[in-house]
Amino acid sequence: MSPGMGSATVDALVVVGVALAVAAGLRSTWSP
Amino acid sequence: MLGSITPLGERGRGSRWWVTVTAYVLGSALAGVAVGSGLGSLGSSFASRTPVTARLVVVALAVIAGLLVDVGSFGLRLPTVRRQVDEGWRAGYRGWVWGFGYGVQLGAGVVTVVTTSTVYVTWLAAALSGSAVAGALIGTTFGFARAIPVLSVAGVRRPDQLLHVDGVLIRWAAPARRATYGVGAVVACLALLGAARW
Repeated sequence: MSPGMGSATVDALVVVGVALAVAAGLRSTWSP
Repeated sequence: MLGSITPLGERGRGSRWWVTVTAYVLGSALAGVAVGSGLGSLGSSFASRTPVTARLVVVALAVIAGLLVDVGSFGLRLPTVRRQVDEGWRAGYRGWVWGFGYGVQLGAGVVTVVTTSTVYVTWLAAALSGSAVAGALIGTTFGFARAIPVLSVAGVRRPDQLLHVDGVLIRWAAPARRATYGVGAVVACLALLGAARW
């Protein structure tokens, strides 16, 4: 693993997680 | 929920809307930070021993499985608590108190009714992110995204405006649901593509 791989790894999961978080948060507007 | 925190309602309760809303958004964001960072910490040990490809694939499969549940495939239903925020708080506490309390509960995502599997998968992604900081970033995003729509009712000062908001929410419910499915599908594809790159 190259030195930059660790941060890239975190970045990929964070990007996916943030995208999910936005969708989940906005969609939850329609819940009680 | 949006119809619960309006300038109209807060004026009737003798509270200032912006104070209640600020507390609500703050509570939601703090809950998101707490849950996200906590899950990031809990999952850091597992994440450090698991290749990123595997974690991205897990998230992608979870998104797909969640979408199948969301659309009712195979008769499946999304597991959720049936609890809702206590409506009585609005009459019994100051605006900033119940606003903060509502924010904390809703920002946690899973202590009141969960309407979409993406909430669960978001927290899964936080756990698999590998660190408290990464988890907190995901959680903060969720907390803000959960609470910020309340600003859309900032102009509600008359009952007819509140009815209009309710109508808009009802009209947008189905498109919002479909948009969530679309985002989920895109995220699953991106996660799989990301996994393939490594």
